[in-house]
Amino acid sequence: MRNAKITELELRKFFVEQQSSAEVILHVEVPVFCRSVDLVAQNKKDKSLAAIEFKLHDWKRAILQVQSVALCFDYLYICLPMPKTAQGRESILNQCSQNGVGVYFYAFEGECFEMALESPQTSTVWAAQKKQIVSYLEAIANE
Amino acid sequence: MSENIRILRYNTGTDKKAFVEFKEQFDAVIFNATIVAYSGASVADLVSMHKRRYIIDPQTHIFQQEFSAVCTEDKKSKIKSMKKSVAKYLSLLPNELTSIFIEQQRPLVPGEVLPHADELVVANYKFQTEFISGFVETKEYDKYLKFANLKPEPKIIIAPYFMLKESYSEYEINEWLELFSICLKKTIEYSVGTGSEYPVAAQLVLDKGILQIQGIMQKLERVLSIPGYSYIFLWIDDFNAFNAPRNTNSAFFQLIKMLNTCGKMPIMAYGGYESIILCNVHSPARLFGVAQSVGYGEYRPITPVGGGLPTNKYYFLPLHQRLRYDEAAEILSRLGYFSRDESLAAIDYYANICGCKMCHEVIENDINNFVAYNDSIPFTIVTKSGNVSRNRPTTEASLAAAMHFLFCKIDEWKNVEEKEFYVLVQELHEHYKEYLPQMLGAITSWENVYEHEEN
Repeated sequence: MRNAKITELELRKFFVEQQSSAEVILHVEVPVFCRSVDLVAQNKKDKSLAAIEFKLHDWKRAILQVQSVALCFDYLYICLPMPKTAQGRESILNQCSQNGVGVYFYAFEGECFEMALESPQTSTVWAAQKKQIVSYLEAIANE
Repeated sequence: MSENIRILRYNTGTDKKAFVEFKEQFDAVIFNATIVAYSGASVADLVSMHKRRYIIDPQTHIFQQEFSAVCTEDKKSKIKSMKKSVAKYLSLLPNELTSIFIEQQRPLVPGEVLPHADELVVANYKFQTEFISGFVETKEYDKYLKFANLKPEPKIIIAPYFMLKESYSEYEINEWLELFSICLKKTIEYSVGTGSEYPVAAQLVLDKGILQIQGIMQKLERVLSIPGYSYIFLWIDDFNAFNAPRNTNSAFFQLIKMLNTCGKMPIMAYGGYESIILCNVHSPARLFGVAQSVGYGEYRPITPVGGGLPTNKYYFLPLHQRLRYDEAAEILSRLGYFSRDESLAAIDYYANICGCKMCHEVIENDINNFVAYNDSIPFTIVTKSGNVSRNRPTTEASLAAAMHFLFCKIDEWKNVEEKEFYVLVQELHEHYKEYLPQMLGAITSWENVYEHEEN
């Protein structure tokens, strides 16, 4: 697999294949407000929800997108291909750190994901709004 | 009694429930001519039963649009054809004009309309005065309406009008203005000739850029200052005064001021609070009415564009602006409404944000119930890059948002009638500062135009 050929959908697919576990259920394309979140990680143990946005290029837009659903999620992440330079990596990590967003990088060499920055728990989560998302996830699980 | 005319714009059958509920709060209902032509019987029922004073927007600017702008595509066959409502309406206008538009599928030029101005004026006048009553006469309830003297009637007759487009040359603008002037004068003469008591109104429709043309105000004044009518509907393409550049707002201010000086009473054909506030008796440039729809009331483009996917919206009363639900919820969250005692937060919400009947019904004594404005149904769209999930509002959530919006409008009208202009401006400023500081600059720019002139 090479960067030039990968799509966002493939990036997400690899993530789901590698990161799924019995404890963390991953849901793709979860409608939230007027848009949909690329991937939602539902932790069955601590009942937390994390939103993850995948982007190949426009990582600043990914930050804005994931922040727009901060009311509903305990953790916010973006997932991007590993930057080519250390400076690029630092720039992304700094911006995400300032905005309370965690980061996964995908390394093409090892074909694996690295959690480069852990998301802090959001301070804005609104229980009633989160409950709407959980209800949706339960409904699709029972379909 | 207020001089202001509060007008409710009726678009589709889904507006009916909210429309009926709020009919007493508005002075007239306005319909687009195409809706009246296509749904004459149901419009007749609606005005007979609920709102007997109606206005019809004659939409004669259709003749200036590209043919494709009035077409719709069949989803299965992909064949484009003229919208049925437009075809029905055009069949009631002079054949000499409609045949050019339909057969040659192109906009008309003023020279093609001018020779048929008389027929257009008469057809337009009769459509607005007789078309609905023609349907009423076929109804069972007609005898009762006649006996009780409750027959629906036009509140105002709008003369045929033509749009001034930014793309026009000076020569073309002059020609369209001349035609506009002729149609307005002829409508006034025709109205006087028939002994009608319905006031005649003009309608000025233009691109924002037109207001910036040097000398345009003098030209408009020459055409619009004629005697024999008072009301003039204004529709400026996609014009949002609260977010417009200073020079556009200044030009708009000059337009209103010029009309006021000529003794005219401008009415915003599509307006939100930025128009309602100008209906205040102390406004330095005064409007005398605003038309708004059941679900929205803001600025609107003249050539309709696709509305996109429906989303949950919420009218944020202190900002007098319709926001996406998540934007509204984010403001409330930032101010701590969702992180304190839910019952006390509900009380604060009623005191600071909105205390309307709908909000009380939705929220009761728990601010978490605000989430009901976001009730939605997930659905999937199949795209080239895979399936995409989205939410669309439930019927209940849409209706609740529409009812809340209309309660807010009643509140706005009440405030505008009762308070001083400077107090309204001050409140607006403070609310933007508190709830949406990123837009305070735009609001201040708007204020500067009006405050500067007021002083």
